[in-house]
Amino acid sequence: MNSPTSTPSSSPGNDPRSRGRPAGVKDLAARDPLEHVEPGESQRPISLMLVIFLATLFSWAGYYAHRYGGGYEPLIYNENAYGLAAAKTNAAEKLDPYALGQRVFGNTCARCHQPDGLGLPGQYPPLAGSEWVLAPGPARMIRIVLDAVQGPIPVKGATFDNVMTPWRDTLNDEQIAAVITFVRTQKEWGNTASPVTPEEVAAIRAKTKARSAAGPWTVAELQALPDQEPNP
Amino acid sequence: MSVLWILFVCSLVVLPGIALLAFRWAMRQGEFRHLEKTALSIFDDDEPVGQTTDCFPGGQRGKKPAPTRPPNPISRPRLPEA
Amino acid sequence: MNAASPSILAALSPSDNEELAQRRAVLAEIDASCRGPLLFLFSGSIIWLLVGTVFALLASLKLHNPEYLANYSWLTFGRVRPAHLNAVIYGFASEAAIGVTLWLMCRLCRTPLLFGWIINAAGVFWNLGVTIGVVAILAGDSTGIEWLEIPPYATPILFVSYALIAVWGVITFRFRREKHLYVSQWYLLAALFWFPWIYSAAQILLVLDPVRGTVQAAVNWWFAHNVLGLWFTPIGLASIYYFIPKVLGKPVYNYSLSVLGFWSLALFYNWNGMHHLVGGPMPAWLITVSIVASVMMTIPVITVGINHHLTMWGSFRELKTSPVLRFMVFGGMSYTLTSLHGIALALRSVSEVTHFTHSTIAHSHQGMYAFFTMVMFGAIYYIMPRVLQVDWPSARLIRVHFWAVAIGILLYVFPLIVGGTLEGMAMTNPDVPFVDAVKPSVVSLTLPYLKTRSYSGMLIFLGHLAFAISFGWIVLRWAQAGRLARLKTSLARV
Ligand code: HEC
Repeated sequence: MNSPTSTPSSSPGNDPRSRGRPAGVKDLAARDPLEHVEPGESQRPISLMLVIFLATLFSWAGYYAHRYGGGYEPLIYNENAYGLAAAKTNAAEKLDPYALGQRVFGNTCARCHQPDGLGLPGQYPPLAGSEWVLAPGPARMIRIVLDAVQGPIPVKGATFDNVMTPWRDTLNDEQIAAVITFVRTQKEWGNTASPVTPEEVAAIRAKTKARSAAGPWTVAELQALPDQEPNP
Repeated sequence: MSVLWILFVCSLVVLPGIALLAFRWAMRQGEFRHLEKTALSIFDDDEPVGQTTDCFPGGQRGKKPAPTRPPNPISRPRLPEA
Repeated sequence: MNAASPSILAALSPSDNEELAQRRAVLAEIDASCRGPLLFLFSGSIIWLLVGTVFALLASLKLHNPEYLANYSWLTFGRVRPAHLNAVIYGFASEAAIGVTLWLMCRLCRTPLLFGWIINAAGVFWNLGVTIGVVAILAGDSTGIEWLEIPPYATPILFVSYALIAVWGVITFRFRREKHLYVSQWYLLAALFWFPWIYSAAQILLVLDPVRGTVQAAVNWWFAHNVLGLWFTPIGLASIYYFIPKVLGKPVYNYSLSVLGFWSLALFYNWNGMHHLVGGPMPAWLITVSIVASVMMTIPVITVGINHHLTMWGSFRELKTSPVLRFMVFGGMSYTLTSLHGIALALRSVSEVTHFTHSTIAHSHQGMYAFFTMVMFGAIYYIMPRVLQVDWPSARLIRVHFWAVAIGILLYVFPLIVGGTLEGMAMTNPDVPFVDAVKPSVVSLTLPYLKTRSYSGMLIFLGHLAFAISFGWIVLRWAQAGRLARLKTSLARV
């Protein structure tokens, strides 16, 4: 073993150090590996396994992209809006009203009426257990949320004198219905009134459109209303 | 916004174009044919097969106890040939 | 071959066989021509490594010990963390990557380093850019965009430096003497092209002429994911493809798979970034396409994995004796693991839990450290003795380095993946509060894992110290050897 050039005589198969080498790979020490390797060896580089694997992967990719691609519409954010049909009609998915109400409440009302619905004594009246909230019909509460209320207002035996913010231009019918439903049915606060539909809100919104220019409601105005909104 | 257009053209035309050209060039060069040769191209003709060319420095500092095998795989004597 | 030779050097030094000696001389010439630039780049990268690790430790400690050093505005979490990121990404990792690329390019093209001054100039600019950038971040001047925190007055310096390196790469390739293009070369050339593209596109779209709204997030993730995938990954893989076969003395298991791996990576990787925005305000198709591309990454990952592991197959006992192999194989295994993990993380159902948690951080460290950094360490261990013609001074230091960082990073990644997943489950559960003194909360859940990370960070820092000492020592040895040799020749002349 004085010169490595003597190695061509060694056969790779018998050399224990070449264990693990793929069969057929020529001994590197062959004088000129570039000459000695038959090109045929690399002509079948892709095995059946690989083809099957690639085919499966590509099929899955096509399916997934089609199923969850939202029709490649820029305005479809929901991957479950299935295929092109849904994308074209742009059908809004049904939101869970409770979740929506909770979110609207947290983003808007909770600032004043507090996350626990108890309000702040002397400033913001409570919503938990409030007779305004729990009235049999939602006619007054819808008006309060749409155009707000101001002036002295008795709530649960205490009187508040402050102004609320109107939500007519900020929240849509669905959001208002959801938040009112959320407040009226929030069991943790002991509220167990009936839910409200977006249609009811829409009706009152249309009916009080002219009134809204006059600013927030006064307590007297609201109290003059019947509990249940009379059907038009 | 005009910058966006430049980037648009780049990303949709120029870069894929370069990639395609590179691919075609490689095809013509035979990069996808002489695979086995290319795999061997990092070795020199005289490089021993299956012998490790790296080891911990050692042996010569005399700090470690004498190992049971020669410490350096490079220096491991080749087995007698069959 | 001299059976009594005690070190790597024996394989490098001329032997009595003249032809062999000549070939070795060519190789030695190539290695020697890289010496100056490599010494500069590697020293710089190791200094940044130490600096970056200190910042990392500070940031990690602050996460479970918020009062720690809280009085110094320069050392607040919001500055230390991006300082850490930029120091290790641009200072350490990129500089080491450039060094390794340089040497690999020369070796693969079989030409000595041409125009070394280009690289030296680029190195100076690069370090200048990163230094200004990191100091600016600490001073509170960060852009606030993840992975692009370096303020706009420092980035042009980096860009100039990068342009020099890319030009150098093209020149070297043009003057190559090797007719075959080994797969590593593909990866390196591609990385040299990809990085300026993603970097400049992101700079323009986010810093110079910012896009608005959620598109910013999209561009940001596209960039951050691609730095890893189109800059570090190709260089890491190029190194593994070169060093494992080279060290073992046997060719890679199946070369055609490696070609498939390269082109599929080129095709699919840069679509991946959007999977970080699952559930975000993005058009559904964008995220869906990104998830599809992420899953398609199984092709390059599996091919690369098969190649690395089956090349190693049967040679695992060599891990005992070869430090280079240890780091490389650790890196290769981590690459497979981290990629498969990443593909799983891209799926909507998984991502909904794990995104925006510490699990993402664990994942990126698995890629950046357990894979890429380990590979760079291995490469430096291989390159330095050959370039300097001096052996590493201490096996013990190398062992300390390996075990400290290997255990350290495992201790970092796996607990934090678990912690991050628990965190995600807690965050998606409305009954668990975010912070609470008595009830188990999101914050209290993650605390033990964050503490583990600090311990692992200390271990990793220890490893880096060992590495830095080793590196300084080998340079010192080389300097002394050179001086002695010069003394000898001058004495001989007298
Ligand atoms: C800017 C703070 C503020 C916000 C936001 C606010 N409110 Fe009010 N709200 C008030 C104040 C103040 C009053 C009492 C007004 C008064 O003194 O006449 C009130 C009164 C009420 C009342 C009648 C009294 C009661 O407590 O039952 C209801 C019902 C009500 N708000 C519901 C809501 C709902 C639902 C929302 C969310 C859409 C909301 N409020 C958002 C401040 C606010």
